[in-house]
Amino acid sequence: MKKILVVDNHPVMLKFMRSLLEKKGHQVLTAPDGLSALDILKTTIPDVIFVDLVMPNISGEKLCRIIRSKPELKEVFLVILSAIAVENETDFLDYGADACIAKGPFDKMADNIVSTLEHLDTLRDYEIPKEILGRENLYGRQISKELLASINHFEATLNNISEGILELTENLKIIYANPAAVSIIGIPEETLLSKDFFNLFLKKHQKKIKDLLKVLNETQQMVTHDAPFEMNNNQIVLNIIPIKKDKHKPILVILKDITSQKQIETQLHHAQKMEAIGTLAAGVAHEINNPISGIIGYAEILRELNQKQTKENDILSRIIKEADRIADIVKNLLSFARDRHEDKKPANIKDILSSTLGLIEKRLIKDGIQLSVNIPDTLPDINVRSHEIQQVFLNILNNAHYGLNQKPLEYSSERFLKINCEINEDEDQYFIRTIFYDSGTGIPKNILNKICDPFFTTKPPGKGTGLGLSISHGIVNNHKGTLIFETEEGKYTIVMVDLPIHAAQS
Amino acid sequence: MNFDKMSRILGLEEDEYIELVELFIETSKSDIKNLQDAIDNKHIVMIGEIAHSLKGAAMNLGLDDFLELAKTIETTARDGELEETAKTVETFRKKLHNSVDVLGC
Repeated sequence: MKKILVVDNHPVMLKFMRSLLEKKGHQVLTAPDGLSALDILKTTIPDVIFVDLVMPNISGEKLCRIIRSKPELKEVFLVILSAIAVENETDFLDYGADACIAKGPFDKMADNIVSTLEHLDTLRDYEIPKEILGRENLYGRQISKELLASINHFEATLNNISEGILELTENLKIIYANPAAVSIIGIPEETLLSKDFFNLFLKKHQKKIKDLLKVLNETQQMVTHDAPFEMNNNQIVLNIIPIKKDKHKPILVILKDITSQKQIETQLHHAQKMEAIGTLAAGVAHEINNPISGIIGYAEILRELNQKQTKENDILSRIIKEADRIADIVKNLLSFARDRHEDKKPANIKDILSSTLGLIEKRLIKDGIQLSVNIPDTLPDINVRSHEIQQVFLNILNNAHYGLNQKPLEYSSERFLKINCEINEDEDQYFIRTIFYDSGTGIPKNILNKICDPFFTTKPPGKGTGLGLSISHGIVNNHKGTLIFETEEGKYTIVMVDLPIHAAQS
Repeated sequence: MNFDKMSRILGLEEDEYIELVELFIETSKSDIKNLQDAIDNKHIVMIGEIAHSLKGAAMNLGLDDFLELAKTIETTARDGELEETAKTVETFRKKLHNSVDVLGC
């Protein structure tokens, strides 16, 4: 005696199969569709399952794949029992089925079923033909072929659009997911089908979904761009559409991943903010520059008048020194705030680097970091937008500074930052390589490919925007250069900025 | 309908065969109703699905007249000749009604 599950949506088939198999002494369970079959399979493991292909909610093909994905059902003998198997040239072995019997007049079908089961008793795998049994008894092939052709077109569309499409039953069980939906949700199709739609969402979103579904009978419901849901670390919007005309009352859900769109928007906001700050800074810097030159000028006049080495003179020198510092800061501010659309001009890396170091050097030294800079005086000029390259250098220096400060105190004696430059050649292209070598915390391997992504940061909230390296990457790319990282976690980071040399470029 | 002959051809007991045909008639009644709704709503895919299911069962039971009608329903719906589909569904319904009389249920 075998425990046999028959899944078919037509009651005549179920009744016939029940009486045929019970007469042979088997125990028979029946299910009118894929979902009910899965319910039965939660508590029962049959020896044999007969599956129809065309069924409401979960199709026979999907059902076979789900069955084969469950370890406890691996040993079940799976038979497809279908009228369209032949027309569709069904590759039933690919579905995970062990045999396929064509539907037809009951007598022929019964012969095939009985002989398949008998084979099963004697020699399991060997004797079962790997072809569809009873195909000669099929009618109306042509008609179904046309039906299949149009279904295939729909399928091709669904398989290739970027929006995720889910179909749910009235009770919100998932019965269809296109490849885009599977990738957005991040759960394999076999697990996704028959799962509860609610369980896809984080707790905090479930209530909102519940509220949406309550009013679903009226019209379609949306989760829009203003308040997207999080799913699988992506931001998604939903469109939930009830299909009223269908007697099964299915619900379609269209998912759209708007993560990158949102990121671009944030990036744009940020750029706009930076531009506003830049304009403001430029204005302020300009306003400060005039009084500062006044202060320096007057202090110098006083010093001239007072030739003797007095305490007053010393104070005047300090005033001039401090005022010079303010002037330097203002100059740096201006170089950042300058119009972004300016043309590239020949400039020397050494000059750019020293003006950048001027902004951060004091802080490095204050934190006890040994700084060594070794830039040859003989470097040729390169064609760049200096303030942009300065920004790149500053970002790298800031990161090095942060990494060095994160290093545990016991290593404080080994904290250094070395900067040097060399000329390299690659495929007849000469470029200047600026190397920043710090003995900071390094970069973990698993995030190395993300560090240039916008908004990726390892710094605590408020400490970093995650934009530094992504902007730097963009700037270096615009200069036809490359940004290279070499690192070992806990030991060191080397950042190399390769920029093509002026002469070779034109 | 010659149940005795039909059941012998299909290798079933006569009462068993009659039971299955009765079930077919019962199911087909609601299928017909759903077909009519689907035609009203011009829901071609659903007409196709229901006709496909009717076709299968008619074929199982060797009910060739019903099989031909189900095939016509499927083709006409596919070709968008819904008037023809509706007519065929009506023929199917009448024929089903006659069979009910024959079986006395």
